[in-house]
Amino acid sequence: MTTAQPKPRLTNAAREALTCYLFLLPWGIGFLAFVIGPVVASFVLGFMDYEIVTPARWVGLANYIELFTDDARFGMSMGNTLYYVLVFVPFHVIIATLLALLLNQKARGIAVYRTLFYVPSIVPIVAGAILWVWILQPEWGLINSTLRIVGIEGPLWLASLTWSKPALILMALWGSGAAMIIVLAGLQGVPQHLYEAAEIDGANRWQRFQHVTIPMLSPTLFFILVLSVIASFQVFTTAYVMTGGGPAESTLFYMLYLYRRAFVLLDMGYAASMAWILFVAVLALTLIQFKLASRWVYYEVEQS
Amino acid sequence: MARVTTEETAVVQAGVSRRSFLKGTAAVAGLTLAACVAPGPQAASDMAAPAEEPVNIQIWWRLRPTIEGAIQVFEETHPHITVSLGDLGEAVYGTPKYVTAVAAGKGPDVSYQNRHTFRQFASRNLYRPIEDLLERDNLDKGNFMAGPIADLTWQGTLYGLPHTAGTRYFFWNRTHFEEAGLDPDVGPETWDDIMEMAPQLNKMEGDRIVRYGFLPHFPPGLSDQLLIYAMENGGFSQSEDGRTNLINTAPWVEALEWCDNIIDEFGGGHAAASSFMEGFAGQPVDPFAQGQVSMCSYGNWMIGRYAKFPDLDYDGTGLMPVSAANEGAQVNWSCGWTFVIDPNTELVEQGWEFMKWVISEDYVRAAGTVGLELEKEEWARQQLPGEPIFAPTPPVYQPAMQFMLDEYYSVLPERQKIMMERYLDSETFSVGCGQIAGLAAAELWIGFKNAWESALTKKQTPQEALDASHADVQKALDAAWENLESA
Amino acid sequence: MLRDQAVGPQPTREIHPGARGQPLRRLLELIGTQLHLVLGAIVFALPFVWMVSTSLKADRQIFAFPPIWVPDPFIWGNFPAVFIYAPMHLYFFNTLLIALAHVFGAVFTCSLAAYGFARLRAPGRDLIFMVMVSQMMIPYIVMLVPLYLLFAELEWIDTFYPLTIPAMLGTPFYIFMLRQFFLTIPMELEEAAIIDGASRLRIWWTIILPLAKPALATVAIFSFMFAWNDFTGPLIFLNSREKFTLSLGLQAFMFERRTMWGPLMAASTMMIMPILIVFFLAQKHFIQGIALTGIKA
Repeated sequence: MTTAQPKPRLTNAAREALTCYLFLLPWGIGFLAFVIGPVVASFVLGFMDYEIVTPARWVGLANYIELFTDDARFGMSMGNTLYYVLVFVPFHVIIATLLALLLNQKARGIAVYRTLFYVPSIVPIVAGAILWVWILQPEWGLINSTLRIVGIEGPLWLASLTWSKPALILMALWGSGAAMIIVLAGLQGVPQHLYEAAEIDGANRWQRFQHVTIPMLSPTLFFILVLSVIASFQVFTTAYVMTGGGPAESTLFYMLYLYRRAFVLLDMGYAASMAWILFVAVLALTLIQFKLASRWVYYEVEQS
Repeated sequence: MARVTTEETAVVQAGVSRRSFLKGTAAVAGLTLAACVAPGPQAASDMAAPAEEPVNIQIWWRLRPTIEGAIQVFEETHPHITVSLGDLGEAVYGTPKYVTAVAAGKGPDVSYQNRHTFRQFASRNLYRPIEDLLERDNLDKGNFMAGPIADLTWQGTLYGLPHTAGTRYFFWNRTHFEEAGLDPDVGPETWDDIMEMAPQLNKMEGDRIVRYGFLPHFPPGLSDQLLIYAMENGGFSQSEDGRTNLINTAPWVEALEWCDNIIDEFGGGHAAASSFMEGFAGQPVDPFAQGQVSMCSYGNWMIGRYAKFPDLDYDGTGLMPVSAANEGAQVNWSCGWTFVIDPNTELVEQGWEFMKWVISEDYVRAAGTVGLELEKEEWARQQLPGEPIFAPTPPVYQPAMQFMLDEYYSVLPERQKIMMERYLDSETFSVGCGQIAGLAAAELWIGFKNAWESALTKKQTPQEALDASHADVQKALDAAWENLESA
Repeated sequence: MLRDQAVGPQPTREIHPGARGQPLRRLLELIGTQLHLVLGAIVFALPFVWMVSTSLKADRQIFAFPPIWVPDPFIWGNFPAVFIYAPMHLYFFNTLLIALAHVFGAVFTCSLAAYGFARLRAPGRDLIFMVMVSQMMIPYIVMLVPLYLLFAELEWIDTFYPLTIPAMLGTPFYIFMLRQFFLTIPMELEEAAIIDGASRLRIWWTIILPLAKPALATVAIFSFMFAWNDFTGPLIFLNSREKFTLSLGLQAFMFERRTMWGPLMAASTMMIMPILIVFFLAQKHFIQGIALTGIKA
């Protein structure tokens, strides 16, 4: 197949546009078939009182009004989530990058190391969760035992109102191996000649990292940043498995609360309105990130 | 509900590309349709007569060798019915799979359901009432344990057949009792006994407690732990008419204060006790089984599990200890599983036939045959000494229960046999979780967890914590009644 | 045409600058690197070691604390016991089939779309891109009921279609990721090909895809892994045992009040072994980048 039998009348720009749409078509079919309907449906549900076992009732903005005026858990779960996002995302990006740099070298047994670093991201959550209980156990767990050696009495972790969120963040960071792979792939795109040129110009290691690696890696880092934000706003599984939102709702994240509303309390309409508030918040943040991207992300192709 | 209209079907069949596009909007239309048609109880006249050809019914239960073995027997003895067995998935705290399917009008013909949210769902017609079937087939409600039947009854109508029930025991470690100079045959009968025994059973290593006589927050991760202490203190969760939540009343507050005090007094305070417990949060570790906690209240399902710890010499033949205010009272509660029929299914007869079979001794025998083999396998695999302890979950239907006692429990060691007798006795005073939970079941269980954690982490006083949970549950309860009465 | 530019795997220079440095410094760096790697590996390998160790224990040892790392006795029987409760071999092939559909979607459909988003100009393209990205921001669980209804109408419930067809038509995550990689590929290569009269599809196939091999390997492993571990999709859309996946199979060991930890860990070990092997063999592709030196035409 060559692209869509271009008619001679078409200008180059029109031809390119048409080609572009054709490239997007397979995805577009999937989007129209499987995404847009459920998305619209969930949007409509946000304006309904729909408890699944009873008929849905149109209630206008009632769900949204209740969320903002009469639901302390809405603000609290959003606060817990923001805490998680603000702490997790920077660490995640930095750790993934450092791991990738560490593993992007020719060392003995590097293949084994790469595999081992990746392991936590594929261990089934039920298997990983038990181990984390052992690691975080305050009395003789790995972390507090280690801290005790240097004379620090560690916190209660999952039993503490202040340390339960950091404990879950720690657990999530341990799965940074997945993002590490993306950075590792990104590092391959850095042209060798740039390093050579920099070296000839007398740049030291840090300068080369700062002026060659970072700019060339920036599209990848941008991707990880955007995705980490989107994903960590939807943090769910670790809290669901490890704490069930406790102690005293200190790890009740937004999605956990949403899940509770949808499948425990059967408040599907309310859950849908919660989903759309999350959507608007994350979309706004993402748009800001795209706006700011032009300041630090380097692309080969000009962005319109 | 949510049947596709012919018009929509035509749209569906109108070619691949257009279909893909149109399905999106069809989904929206379909959902609205699904949402607007309420599932209502079906008239008895709609019931289909048993067909000649084998009829296939969908049952969502569990995929376990015991259950699959039993289904096989059912199909052999009921050649006119075949069963498609599916797994219900997570079903205690949220039931995403079932809820999603029911919302789309595609629920299974027969399903397994937990009882603690039962009334909430039954009041919304999620299940088909079965009074008519019960009456027609002369199935006597009196042959079932009373608590579970009450759980499944909403405004005088029965909505499901109870299958199994679990209850609470107070366990103590006989070896520890002997070490501490206590009589290993007699467990604590009152809270005062516990207060007296617990410090004697504590074991220190330097200034650290390495064995706890009693930790009220063991077992962790059970959000109903507060409930049993409140009941021991004469508390109940809601008013008789089910409209007022009572979990911030005096018996509850005292019970929570009592737990909090024990931790402070004998448990070295929240930090030490919690740090000891933390390794066990909802996880496989069990300090009672490992001899690091001497007394606990836990469920009957632990009988089989504790048997796999050869070093553990435990007893559970006493009653639940009660507070001074409630002295002489017998207290317990039970929860368990139930079978229900989809209100929209046409296969009521077949589903009902299955339900009658599954509560009977025929099921106990079929599942027990497989279960015993599995227990033997596990016993051999884990290289455990002695004979396997096979303690299947007791059924609610008395003839089946009697069969299980004769067949499986009669061969158990003496103490486990006495515990089973206690279980049968408790039938007369146990309260079912459906009655406890009422119409705001999910909120109540969440409220227990929140109050418990807030008080024990000292975020709030017991009174404040229970007031907060009470407010949440009462709000949900009011909304549930309002919805019900406006419908 | 590509032959001239493509050079084999390369060491990364910013961490290994000492190729021509002093031998002592080189040695120290080497030791330092190995030390980091070993320390990191210990931390990251813990779950795996724990999982395997638990899979060989009896209950009384699994529940012991402080934890026991070396089982005594070794309960090898936990592995064969897995098959009493769940036919993992059957689930393995089901999961493989679904995972391969995901890989196909990620590598072909997504890279097509990513090429369009990265390299071709069209009105509304960036808006469409944002719509696609924003799709990831809507929590999946509120879409479950409408999706279920849709699949029910298509009579896709209890088939593999809900788990394969949408994935084969592309996933925003992989499209976005590939777009980012495609954006870093120098324009010169493509421009030369356009002058030579190559179609865009040909350019995508013969220039972009080979150059993006590390990125494609990454999306392949990601999509494979996602499908392998996905729980919600199979849980909601599959009913009969013959169609179950491995992650659903793990449920067979988790009872209401009791989990069979030994067999569960044995099943988990069996479940992730294939991914580990595939990853171990595939990992060299992540670093087999194409050196883009001497591009100037």
